[in-house]
Amino acid sequence: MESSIALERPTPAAPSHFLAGAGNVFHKELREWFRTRKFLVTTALTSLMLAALPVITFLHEGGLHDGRINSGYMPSMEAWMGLTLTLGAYLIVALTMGVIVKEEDAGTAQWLFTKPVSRTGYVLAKYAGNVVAVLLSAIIIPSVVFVALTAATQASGITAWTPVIEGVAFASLHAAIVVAVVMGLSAFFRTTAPIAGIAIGLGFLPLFLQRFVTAKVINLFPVNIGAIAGHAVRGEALTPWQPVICGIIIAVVALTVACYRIERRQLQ
Amino acid sequence: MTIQRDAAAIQTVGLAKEYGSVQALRGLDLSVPRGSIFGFLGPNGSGKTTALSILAGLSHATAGTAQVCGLDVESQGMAVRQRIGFLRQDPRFYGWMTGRETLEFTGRCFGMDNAQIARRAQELLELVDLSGAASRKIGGYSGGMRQRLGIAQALMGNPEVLLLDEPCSALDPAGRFEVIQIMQRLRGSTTVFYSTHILQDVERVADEVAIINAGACLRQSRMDDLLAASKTELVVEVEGDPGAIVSDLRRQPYVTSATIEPEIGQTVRRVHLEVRDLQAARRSVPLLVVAHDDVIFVSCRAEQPDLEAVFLELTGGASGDIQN
Repeated sequence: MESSIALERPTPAAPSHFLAGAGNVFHKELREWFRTRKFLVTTALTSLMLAALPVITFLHEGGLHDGRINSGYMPSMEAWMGLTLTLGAYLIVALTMGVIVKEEDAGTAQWLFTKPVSRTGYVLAKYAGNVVAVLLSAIIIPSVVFVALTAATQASGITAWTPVIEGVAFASLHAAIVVAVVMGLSAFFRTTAPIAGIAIGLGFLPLFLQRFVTAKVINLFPVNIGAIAGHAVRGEALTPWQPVICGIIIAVVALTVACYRIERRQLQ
Repeated sequence: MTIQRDAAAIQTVGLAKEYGSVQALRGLDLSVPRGSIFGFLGPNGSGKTTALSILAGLSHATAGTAQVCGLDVESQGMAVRQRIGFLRQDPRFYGWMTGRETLEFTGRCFGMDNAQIARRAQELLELVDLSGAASRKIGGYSGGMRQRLGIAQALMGNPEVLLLDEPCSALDPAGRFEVIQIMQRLRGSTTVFYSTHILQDVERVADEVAIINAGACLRQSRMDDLLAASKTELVVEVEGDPGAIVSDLRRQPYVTSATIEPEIGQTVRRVHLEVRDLQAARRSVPLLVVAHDDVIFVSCRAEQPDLEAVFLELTGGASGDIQN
């Protein structure tokens, strides 16, 4: 009954693997960030909040001597890392909470899903694209601004580069985990409010739990990557490692759940 | 991958879809011939968009099967999507992209190379009369322009099956005419499966139609057969009281029913006859009327029902959204 034949009409050789179309969607995500004002506005805002404020604060506190600040190097570094980890995380939630639900709300996801684009590829491409964009706009560029301002204003300049690079690396890892958690939550909700609420709430969870559970349990929360980043900028040992390992596991699970659920999501 | 050569372009068997307690589709059976223009008609909420969403891979059927080009939409979804072009009722695109970029993006989804993309995008922009606006952001497009861009993107992958959900709903008469012309140009090479409320367009362009209501197919037929099989009416006009004629006509074997149109002041009265044998009726009715001395015979003509009449008859008048 079933005869195997070639189609009479040549159809374009669209890829049919599980990541089909991911490259195209990734490219589109980056263009969306860079072609609109989103990247410029975000970078300006984060550079002001996360980089300029710590420098200005300690400039105000320490005062200038021969045009340089002679004190406050380490507090300034700690303030920068603390802001980058906490305020940066909230910013990242705000920036990425709509990446899936707003596309569905606008109807563009429905349009894309009628093309030979795999939904798993779509989720992973959106994740990768948004991680690249938020790392640049909310972590890396503000860090470069901070380092440049610190080097220009501190009498000592930057005393050591390794702690700075380690701090930025941990902040980047934390940001990538936050984006993955937001993507995972996006697979469960159709509006942004619960996604933002839960993602931010998860950040506060260790604070509530620390009275009831041991430090070992608290160390499992990825939010404690902030502690490692703090140790890094102070030039101390990079411990504890549990939040890093748990954070990576949580990110993988969140993305797997997002792919699974969006693959099965019913759209009209 | 195996493809059934003799398979219909679209085949659904017992297709069902439930949204909680709502049954959007109740065992929809359809068979759409390859290369045809197929009108998919039904009142609002009859399940047209749900059926199209399943065929396009947007949602999953609760029961039954659906095949496009001999490929199962559930298990071979990616292969199906390589062969279809889809335009939804209210097409949405990335507002920050230009019209040309949208077509290029679509082309890359289909794995086309840059030269193919550039050539095809230009052809389609000209086809839908958007060449002048190709470099403008879609955010500034009107509803009609978005609809035309939607048709262009649906054709970008050179589809075997084009699924169009209300393609003319946002278009003015000139735009509608252009879309109909595009469909006519595709006849034979691409199967066009389209849902619409504009019955006049369906009558003009469709080879075959399916009328659905409450999630089930009421009738699928070639357009000619559908109209031919419907009740044909003969309208007889006379001057005078047609009461006696109607009694006579009701006794004729070729007459199913005879009714007098209510009097509205004119001297000419109309009698509507539903007939079994149109030819016999056309020959005999004038002679029978002339034989009556109390009336003056004016005219006798056959009235073929249009698609609207057939639609209303089949759906029981659920036509609040139908335009003609």
